[in-house]
Amino acid sequence: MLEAIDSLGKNALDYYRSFKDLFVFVYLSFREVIRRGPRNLQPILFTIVSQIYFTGHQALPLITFLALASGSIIVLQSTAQLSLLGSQEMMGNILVVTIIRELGPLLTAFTVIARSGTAVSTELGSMQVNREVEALRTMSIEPLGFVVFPRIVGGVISLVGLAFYFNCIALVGGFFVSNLVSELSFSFYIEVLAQAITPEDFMLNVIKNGASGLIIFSIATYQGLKVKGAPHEVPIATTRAVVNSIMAVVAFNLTVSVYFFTRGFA
Amino acid sequence: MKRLSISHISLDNICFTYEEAAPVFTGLCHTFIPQDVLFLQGPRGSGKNTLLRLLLGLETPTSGRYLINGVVVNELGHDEFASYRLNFGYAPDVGGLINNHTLYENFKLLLDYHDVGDPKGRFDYISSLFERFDLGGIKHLRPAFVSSTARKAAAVLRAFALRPEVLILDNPGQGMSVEHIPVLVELIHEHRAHHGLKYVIISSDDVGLLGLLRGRIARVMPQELQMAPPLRSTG
Repeated sequence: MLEAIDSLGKNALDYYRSFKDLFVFVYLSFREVIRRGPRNLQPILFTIVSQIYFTGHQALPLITFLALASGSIIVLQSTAQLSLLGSQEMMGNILVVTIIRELGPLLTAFTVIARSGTAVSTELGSMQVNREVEALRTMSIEPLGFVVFPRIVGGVISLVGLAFYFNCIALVGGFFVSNLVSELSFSFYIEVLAQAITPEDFMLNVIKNGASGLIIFSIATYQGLKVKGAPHEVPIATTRAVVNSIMAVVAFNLTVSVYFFTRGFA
Repeated sequence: MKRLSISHISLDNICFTYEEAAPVFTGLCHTFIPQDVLFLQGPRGSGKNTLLRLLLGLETPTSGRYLINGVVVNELGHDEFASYRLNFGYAPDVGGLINNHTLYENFKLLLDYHDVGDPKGRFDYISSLFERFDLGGIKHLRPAFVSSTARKAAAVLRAFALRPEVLILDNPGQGMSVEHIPVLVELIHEHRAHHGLKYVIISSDDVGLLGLLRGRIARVMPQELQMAPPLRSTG
């Protein structure tokens, strides 16, 4: 019994230390860029744009497919169930809650973890192995500012953009796909949707996605740079980045949802 | 960032131990003499590479003082040490190039980041450096798409990009094409004569390179660098 409590305490302390290290890591990366000021930002901006291209633009086909599929299923199922109850006007609320508030942020985050979180963690791990990070230090280029900061910023921008795109495709595309098998008027659909969406929904969406981007790319860069120099450490770091990102993103989304729910934002 | 000139480098009672390993240095003292071309030698594990890493600030001594111009630099933060480090040129024994940048971009990044010269001037300067090693034709390729000798040459050449006052080369002859060696020697002589290069510290057992540079052998010991007399010119 005592051993179990010891083990629990040790795990809790380990998590606390990791969280503290991660926080300091992110803080130092932002501090480094702020300290440098606006001069010669071109190499950093170039990396941010590249990150947006790889994480945001290249993920569009997969996000389109996921959004269409999940949007269609939700529109189709909610139409069928609500028509049985004779309350189709509730469809807007259901779509907003499931797609904009909950499913959109989570599915987008999982897609980004799978595509870009793994890529970033592997890339940085390989950079450590190939002594590229060390080379940057010897050139007086601080890796936290040059490698970590642009990936986090690019990742956050990409995730917020991708989630917005996901919502649009899921809501509009989902209607057209589901309309192939069900009869639902577009004007009615738009009307119930417009009545249900509030500015708070957008705010919640941006908060969830922005924070998920920060979580995913902070963890991916942190784990990648934790590689000491042996190639076998790279897949281990990548796996750890994926597992930690999924847990952190789900926990954060759940916490935000519960918080808003308890504040009467149902 | 302001670049600080380096006129004095010394190590005072430096101790260094890697985690869970025997101590590498146990009170190393040495003052580096400007204009010397120092060849660090010693058996495997004697601390040649560690010494280079300490000088570059990549490792922090367990105890002791690493002094540049009388300032204890091992107590400085990254930003403060960076002012001195901008005057260090370094080429590792393997790797060191940024793999998602072309050879040209590897140099451009360094000059852009530290805002050296105007954009046109940067292009001309980088191109002139590449021509020295006859790498002009492949400068827009990424490291993975050029030969290992070209990668090595580019990594060594990049050490000269900021016209450093301290040049640190780890095994420069290893993996470098035979034709590139005389060019490297010429480049070092030229930078010493015209571009303010003061300290040249090389970890190498390459007797040919040692002769061409008329270097001085320093055997790396735990407490000192045991100096051999300078080689006489065979002129």
